[in-house]
Amino acid sequence: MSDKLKDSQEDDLGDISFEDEQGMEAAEQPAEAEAEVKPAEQPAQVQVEAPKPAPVSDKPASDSKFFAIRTTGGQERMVADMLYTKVTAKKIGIRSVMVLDSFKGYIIVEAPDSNVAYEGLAGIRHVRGQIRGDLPFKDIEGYLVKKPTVTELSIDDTVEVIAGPFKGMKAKITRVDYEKQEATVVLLDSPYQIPVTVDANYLKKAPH
Amino acid sequence: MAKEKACRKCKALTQGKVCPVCKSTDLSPDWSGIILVFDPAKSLVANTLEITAPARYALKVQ
Ligand SMILES: [Zn+2]
Repeated sequence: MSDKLKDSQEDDLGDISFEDEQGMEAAEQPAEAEAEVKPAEQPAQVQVEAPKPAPVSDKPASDSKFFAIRTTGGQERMVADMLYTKVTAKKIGIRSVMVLDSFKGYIIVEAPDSNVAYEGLAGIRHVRGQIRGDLPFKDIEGYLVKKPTVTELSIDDTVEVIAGPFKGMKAKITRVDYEKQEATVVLLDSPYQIPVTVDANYLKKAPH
Repeated sequence: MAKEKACRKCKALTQGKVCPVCKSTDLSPDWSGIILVFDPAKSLVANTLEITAPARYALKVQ
């Protein structure tokens, strides 16, 4: 850690600082406030409640960590754009950066560790906060796995076709295939009431 | 800020008329959330969103 810090001292460090090291030390002790003790850090005498999980997840094993970085309000996109340029040019090991409406005043940086996140953020304007520990992926995942449009559709809904050959037309849903994420609609603007099946993502519920 | 559009197929953002990732011309001005993917092979976010090419993406595209 200290090596990396020295390496980046030439950069403007701004007010970024690291607190997660302390946080991790605290987690190794049985601190009462630390709710997220990783199983690997627990002593081995703990009764294992389930056999070691097989690779059931379809996600690859990843050592990614997620850091919420506070920015000047309204400058999240600016910070992300500057990071994009810097990370691309300098080949910094940041894996992704998220600007989510649900996290106003923050950007979320995915990196193998906080040093890498820090390397990217050092000297970037409008970065305000400190990196404090990492966010569990499950806190972010919910924002990424969007509910498919098809779940919002039902028969007799009036929708607008927003893409594809019938773009711009109003339609009425006659059938929904939730599995295939398709809907069969009758185009209301067409003189011929022929049902057509379209990608559910091409439909948007019309406002009443 | 120049108006960017998002590809309806892969959600990549572009200021041009063709998606830089999948070459679709089906672009939408109505999008939200930004995901910058640098390392799709190692990124959990890219994996979750089934993104395989490094680029700038929208999270949601209408
Ligand atoms: Zn595309």
